[in-house]
Amino acid sequence: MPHTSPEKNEIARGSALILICLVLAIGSHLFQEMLMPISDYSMFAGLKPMPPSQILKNGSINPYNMRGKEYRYLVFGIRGRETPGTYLSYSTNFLPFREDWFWWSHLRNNLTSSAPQQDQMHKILRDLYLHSRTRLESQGFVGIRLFRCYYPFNEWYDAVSSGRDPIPKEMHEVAAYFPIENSDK
Amino acid sequence: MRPIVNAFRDYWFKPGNADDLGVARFVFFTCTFLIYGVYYGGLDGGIFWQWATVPDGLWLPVSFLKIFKNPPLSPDVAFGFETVLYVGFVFSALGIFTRFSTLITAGIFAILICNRLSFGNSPHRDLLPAAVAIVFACSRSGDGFSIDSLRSSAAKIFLPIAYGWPIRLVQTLLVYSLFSAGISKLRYSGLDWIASDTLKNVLLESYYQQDLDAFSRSLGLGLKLAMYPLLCHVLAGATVFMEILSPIALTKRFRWFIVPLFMMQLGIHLMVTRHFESYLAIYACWIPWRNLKWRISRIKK
Repeated sequence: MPHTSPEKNEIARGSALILICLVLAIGSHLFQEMLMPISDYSMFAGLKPMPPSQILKNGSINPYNMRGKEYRYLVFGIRGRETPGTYLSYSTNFLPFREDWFWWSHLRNNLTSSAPQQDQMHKILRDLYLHSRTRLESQGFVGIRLFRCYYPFNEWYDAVSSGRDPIPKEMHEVAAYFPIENSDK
Repeated sequence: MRPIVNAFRDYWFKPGNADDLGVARFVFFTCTFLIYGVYYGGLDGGIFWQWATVPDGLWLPVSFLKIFKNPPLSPDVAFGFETVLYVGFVFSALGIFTRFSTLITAGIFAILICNRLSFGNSPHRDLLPAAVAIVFACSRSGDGFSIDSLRSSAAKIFLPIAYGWPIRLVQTLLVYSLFSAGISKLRYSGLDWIASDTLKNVLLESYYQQDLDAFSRSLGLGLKLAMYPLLCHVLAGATVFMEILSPIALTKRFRWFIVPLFMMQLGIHLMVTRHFESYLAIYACWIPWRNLKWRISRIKK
């Protein structure tokens, strides 16, 4: 069938958009830092290692809690695992909230699929501290806190299995603290 | 080279129908308006513009905002954009000045998402809908099932191939997002995602951390399922299996596979999180609306 000009134009236009979308979709999966992660549906899938300098970019910030407040601590959390093989190690929205803490941030992109190791976390936060200290200081932060958090899954499970409704709770402990103000000066 | 070109053409540029594309546009933008405006609370105070109130020091632009070195949006501008976004959803759904309204809507949608992303929030639920909006904006989605098509005295139906590729592209993007999720699971956790208690813990966590809407929580399906660890393993295995196999839904023979994938998405909504409802509207691109209309009219006769 001979190609008419409008048909050729339509194919060219469609092909351009198709290629752009595919490059964005596939590229974002492989190089999440470069492109908008269209395929970030894969958040369910696991955790992707990422350079420490990207933490702030990829950590979550909750603007609803930021307006009109002054924050002094940047707080991170890692979720410990109770059950071998699980890797629920992202998000810390269950951290105890304090008025002077910069809401929460998560590190899911910085952890591998293995359990978050405290050493690994220390290294990540130390790098973050070195990388972003000036910027954080200019924002009025005086320290970075790392919490290690747990969900009592086994306790919940036992309660549910025996027909009880467990009281939601979480446990946490300070795992590391990096002062920004008056340190290394 | 020729066979590759032919294969590319055969896959993407099959003849389509203006009404099919128009109805898909209508369903997508209507659902997106309801999900973002009503369900996520966009009409009740907004969900995007607040990001403009985050301190500038935390602004790390991504995507095209990085390329063009854009500053963050001011709260007033962001609020205005968000208002236009909801109006744009309605205009795009109804097909009023379709090309213009879909372009504006898709553009503003992308800007608001990038603005949020540049402040560190990962808007995973928004990216695919934004990409789909761009596809509708760049195609002739207003030629059928739109107020524009009713207003024009003569039907302006273009070449059939102009109505096939946008639907095909949306289908491919949705399938790719599911497929990549399956790949990521295997890539980063291997079979642990199936063999461990991960899914059981996800279900418990979702229920107790209030990551479900009121209706889903009242059903408590995830909680009930978590009581059967073996079933959780089976479901985890089925999830990975279905995600990996999702591309077969693009073939004519296995089109029906989109139904279990849709059910899986519905299951995620009911048991895991309320963050992917925006995906549900995209499944409308699998429905052959014209055939459906024909069959209904035959049943009526």
